[in-house]
Amino acid sequence: MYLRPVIFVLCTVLTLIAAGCNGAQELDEVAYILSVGLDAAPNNQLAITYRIAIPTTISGVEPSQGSSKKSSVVVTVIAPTMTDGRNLLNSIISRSPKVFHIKTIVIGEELARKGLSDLVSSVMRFRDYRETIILAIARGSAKDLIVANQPELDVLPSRWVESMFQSYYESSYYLRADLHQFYKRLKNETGAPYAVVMGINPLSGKGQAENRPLGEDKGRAYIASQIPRYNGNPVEVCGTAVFKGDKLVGFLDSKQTRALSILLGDWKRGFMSVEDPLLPTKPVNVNIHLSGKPAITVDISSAIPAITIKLSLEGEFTAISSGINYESEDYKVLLEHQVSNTIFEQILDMLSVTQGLGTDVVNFGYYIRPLFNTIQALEAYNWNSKYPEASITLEVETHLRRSGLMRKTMPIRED
Amino acid sequence: MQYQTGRMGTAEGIGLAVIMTITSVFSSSPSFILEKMGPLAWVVPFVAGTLIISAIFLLAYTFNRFPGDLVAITEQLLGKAAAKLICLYYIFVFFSIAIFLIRELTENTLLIALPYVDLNIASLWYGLGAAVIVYAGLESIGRVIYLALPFIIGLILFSLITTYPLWEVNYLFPWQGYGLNTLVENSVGLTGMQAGVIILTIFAPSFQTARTIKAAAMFGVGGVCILHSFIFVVFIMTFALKAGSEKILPLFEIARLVYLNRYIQHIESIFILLWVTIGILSIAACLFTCLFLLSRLANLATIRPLIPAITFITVELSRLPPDITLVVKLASKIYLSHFFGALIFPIILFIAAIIKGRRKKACTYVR
Repeated sequence: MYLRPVIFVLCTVLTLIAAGCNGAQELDEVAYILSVGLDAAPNNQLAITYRIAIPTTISGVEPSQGSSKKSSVVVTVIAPTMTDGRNLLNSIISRSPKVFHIKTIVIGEELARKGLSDLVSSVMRFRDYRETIILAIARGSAKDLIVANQPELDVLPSRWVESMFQSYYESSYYLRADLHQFYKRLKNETGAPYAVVMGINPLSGKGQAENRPLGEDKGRAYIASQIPRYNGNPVEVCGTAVFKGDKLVGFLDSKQTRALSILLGDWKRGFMSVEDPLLPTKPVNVNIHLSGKPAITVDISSAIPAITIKLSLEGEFTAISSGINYESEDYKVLLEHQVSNTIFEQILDMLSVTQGLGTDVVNFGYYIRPLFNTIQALEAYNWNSKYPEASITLEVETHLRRSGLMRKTMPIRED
Repeated sequence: MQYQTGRMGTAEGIGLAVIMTITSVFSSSPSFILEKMGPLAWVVPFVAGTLIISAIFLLAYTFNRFPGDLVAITEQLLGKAAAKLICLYYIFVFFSIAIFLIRELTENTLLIALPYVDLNIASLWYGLGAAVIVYAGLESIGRVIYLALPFIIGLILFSLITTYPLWEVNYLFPWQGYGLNTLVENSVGLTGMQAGVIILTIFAPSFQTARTIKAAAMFGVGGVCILHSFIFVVFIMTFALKAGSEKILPLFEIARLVYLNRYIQHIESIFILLWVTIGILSIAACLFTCLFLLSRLANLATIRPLIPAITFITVELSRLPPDITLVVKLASKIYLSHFFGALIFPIILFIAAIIKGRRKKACTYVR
């Protein structure tokens, strides 16, 4: 008789209690860590730097008298592990530290060269860390980089990270390198892990590396902290950190990174300034993109594997300083050849660096998988040991299909 | 008078077939199968599904010739003792599925959603939730699942498809994985895991005809197999073999990876919602079947007084293994033993039905 009312009450109570509010914390009880920096410290310790959000500033609440308008604070602790660092952080800040909104983990160069296996294993296992976190290598100290990072266009450093890695394809001078791809390449049969490079620029406009331009490219190649400039956020993102196993072994500069992006099939579009084929002192600007994924084949029938890459690019003119009529079919071929040659040399340069380092960062090994019947056979072939010896054939074809908003260039009147 | 389950059609049948097979999608099984099979893992659900559907079709053939449910037919074909034995065996099958589901779901809830909840309280809530649904009956469970099915499938597909930017097709190669010889072993394991679909034949008289059961098995199990296989394909393309084999909750990890832009990310809460809904309904269906078989065995008029007791026993037993590793290990061994109930026993019944059918014919001829 009372069964139905009892079930009704039970269901109502169940709905209220099982609503998932168990363990909930109010916003003003937690401290959201936005980025973590890790450096090697003496006695096998880690210097762990946390950038923590200040929610009231972000929400637009007017700060009380005497309090700062900063959107985040930075704390560095020395601890043997990240877990212990988090415990120590709890003794420093009044709120409960939460890591599930971390956007980037920055590793100091020294620590990265020692190996990241300890770090990666703890980050991949604990639920609060996500594989979408950006993994960055700081040229120098991660602590200094996190402290120096003062984004001017974004309220928060976390938003700065998101915006940076959503717009990476504008130049492809850096890649969207997250924990997911790093770990996948670290564990699977082929491919070398890579991470993005960050550095602090001296903002002096000089004293930068004198990288020679490759091919007919007017622009020079840089790694983060080398870009010649004066103002803005001192922190910059440029280039790629290349790993062998879990250890950092080298860096790719901006042009090599773009070449890597092209071979990964990840290059959305990008501007290039190449020498004018007929008037080398003048630049010709083009906007180029891949017209399809690169056609990559690997022949493993002989002792030395042969990699063949066929690239097809297309694009449009954005500036012709010399006024030469490159829109016409006869001249256009010259410019197309110029672009192809530049990309060709930059790709070969990148490949020679990675072959020298013994790191298949393009993951050519990915293309040999269909050639084997079983995993055992694939593992026995040991692609990573063969990559440095592989011969490479590269074909680049460029079609400049559009001439921008001008159909031809009329000469400037001579007075 | 025995307890009756009501009338069910193809829709309820599909719902039941789905709920008894789809839970494997949410568990650690894809990761275990991937580790053993390599890139060929995506074939396993098809082989397991084909075996299960064949078993149901064999039983449907038997039902066409001999009326009654699975226990009644066993009694007619193999005798009373065999019927009681089979009844006990299937009680064990559904009871063990319910026990492992409660423990795995509880552990996973603590692992990813509510880390600070007490294990005992969480498992008790799962048991309580399932018990309340058992009161509503199997027909209601089947209908609820059928109605929820478009949302369940839709949300799973959404999670899968939104990882598209991370797919790398060549990770599906080498196509034989660790070798074709491992295919049979793993397919048997997955077939055992999906033994719960026998529920369709246990409640056979509640369905309109044997054709209804066949349709339910075909669309329900077939659909889940396609989905399961697609999950494998996406999982392999996204994580590849080695990194994928480490994951304890593959579908959850896929959902966690979704990052389309700053506004579409962190969507794993969809997964948790689905997983708890499906889990509780699945536990309820298993408990209901246990109770029904108990009522058949002991010739009880009703099952309702037994619901709290059986639920409590299930929850208590689910808490016995000391850690999740042991639970998963135990579960995989016991699920392997379910292969008998999923395939061997239906084949035995089918052969017995053919032999008895011939004798009947012979007898008619003489008369």
